[in-house]
Amino acid sequence: MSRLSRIPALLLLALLVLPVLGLGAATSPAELWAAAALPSTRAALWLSARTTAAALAGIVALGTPLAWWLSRARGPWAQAAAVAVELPVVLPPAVLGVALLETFGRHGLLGPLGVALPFTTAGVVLAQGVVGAPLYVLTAAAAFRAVDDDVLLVARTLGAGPVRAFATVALPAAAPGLVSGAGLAWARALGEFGATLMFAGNLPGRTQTLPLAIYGALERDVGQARALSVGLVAVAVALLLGLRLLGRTRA
Amino acid sequence: MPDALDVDVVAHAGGFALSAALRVAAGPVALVGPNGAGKTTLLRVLAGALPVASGRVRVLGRAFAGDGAWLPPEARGIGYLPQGVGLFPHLTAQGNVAYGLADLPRPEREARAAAWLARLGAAPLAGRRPRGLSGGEAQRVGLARALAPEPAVLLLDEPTAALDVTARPAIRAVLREALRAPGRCAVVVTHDLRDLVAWDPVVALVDGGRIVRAGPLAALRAAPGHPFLDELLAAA
Repeated sequence: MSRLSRIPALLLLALLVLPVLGLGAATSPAELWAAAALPSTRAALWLSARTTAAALAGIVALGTPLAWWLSRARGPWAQAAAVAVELPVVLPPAVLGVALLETFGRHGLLGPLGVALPFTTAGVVLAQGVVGAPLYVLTAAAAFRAVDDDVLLVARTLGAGPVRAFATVALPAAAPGLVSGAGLAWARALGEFGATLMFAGNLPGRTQTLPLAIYGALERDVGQARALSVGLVAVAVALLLGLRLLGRTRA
Repeated sequence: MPDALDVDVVAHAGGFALSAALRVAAGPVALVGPNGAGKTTLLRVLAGALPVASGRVRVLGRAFAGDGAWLPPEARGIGYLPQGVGLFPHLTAQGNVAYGLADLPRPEREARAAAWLARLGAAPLAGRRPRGLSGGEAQRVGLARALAPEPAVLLLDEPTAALDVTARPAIRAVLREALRAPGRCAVVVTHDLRDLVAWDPVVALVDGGRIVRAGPLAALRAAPGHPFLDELLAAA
C-alpha cells in the first residue's frame, strides 16, 4: 500500500473505531454495575434473549429450506424470490415498521382474519425475524451454492435418498456458512430498533428490548443508556470474534 | 444373459442435446471423443442425474429409465467418479470411502474402507480431508469410494487423468480388474490410449451428442477415417 492511500484508509478506520472508544471512555465500571442491577435492565435483557431466540429459531427453520431452494432454482421465480429476500436489507427500518402495521395491525391486510400483533411480544419477534431473515438466507444460499451438484449426485449413487443426501452431505458441507449466517441474523435481530419501535412500541417487559431500553433511558438516565450500550457492543464484538474463530478452525 | 448396456436415449442438458444409441453384450465400455461431445452427459444419464426425454436406458437387464420406468440414483447400484471427483468436503478420506458402506456394521465398514484405500495406494491419506489433497490423491480416494461398495455398475469419468504418469500403471491395473469383473457393467471416459490398451473395452466414439462408432480397439484401428479417432490411435 502506498503511503498516500494509507491516509484515507486510516481516516475511515478511525471513524469506525472512535465512537466505540468514546462510548467506552465515558462509561465507568460503577455505572455498568448500577445499570446491571436495575430491574428494567434485567427485564429488557430477558425480553431480548427470549425474542431473539424465538426469531432465530423461526429464521433457521423456515430460512434453511428457502436458502436451499434459492441455491438450486433458476428462472424468473427464483429471481423474484431473491429480490424479495434482499428487500428488507435495503429498506429503512421505519418503512418496515409501517409495512408491518399495515399488514399485521388490527386494521391491516390480515386484520379481517383476526390478526393483531402490534404492541405484543409476538410483534417484536416478527419485526426481528423480518430484518434478520435476509442475512441468514443470503449467507446460507451462498454456502449451499458452493456445494457441488456432483457431490450430491455421488451421495445419491452411494445409496442415499434425497433427504439423507441433504442431511449428511449438503448440510454439513455448508455448515460453516449456515452458522455464520445465523450469527449475523441473530446480531441484526438483537440490534433491531426502528421497526420494533414503530410496530410493537416501547412497553417495558412486553416489547421493550435492549435497544429500546437504551432509547428510553437516554431521556431519564444517560448513565444507564451508556452502560446498556457498552453491554451490546461487548456482545457484538464477542459474536464477530466467535464467528472468525469458528471459520478458522473449520479451515 | 441380458446385455450389459442397452441405451437408445434422447436427453437434454442445458442447451445440449444427447441422442445416443449403444448396445454392448458384455465387458467394459470406454467413451472417447472430443471435449463437449457428450461423454459426461451420457454418464450423468446413466447415473440418473438427468431426466430422459425419450427412449430407454437398460443396464444389466434392469430398466433404469424410459418406457415409463424411472429408477432414482440410489436404487441403481452405481459407483460413480465424476470428472471433478466430488469428494465430501466435511469427511476424511476414510469417511468418504465408508459413506457408501452404511449397511455394514461399523468395524467391517471401517476395515473395508481402509482396505480399498490401500488397494488404490491411498492408505496414508485415510485421516486427511479433501481440502488438503492434491488432484491425484483426491482421484485415488474418489476411486476407492466408487469401488468400495462393489457396485454392479461403474461409471468413471477420466479415472486416470489427474494421476502423474508414474502412478498410472498401478491404478490402471486395479481398474482393469474392477472394470472386467464378471456381471458388472462398467462405463469409463478416457483420453488415454494406454487405458484402452490395458482394459480392452468396447470403445464408443462420442461426437456431437451421438455415438458415431463403436467396437473393440482393433476394429476401430482397422477402419480409420474419423479425425478424432485417427489422432487418438496415432498416439501409440
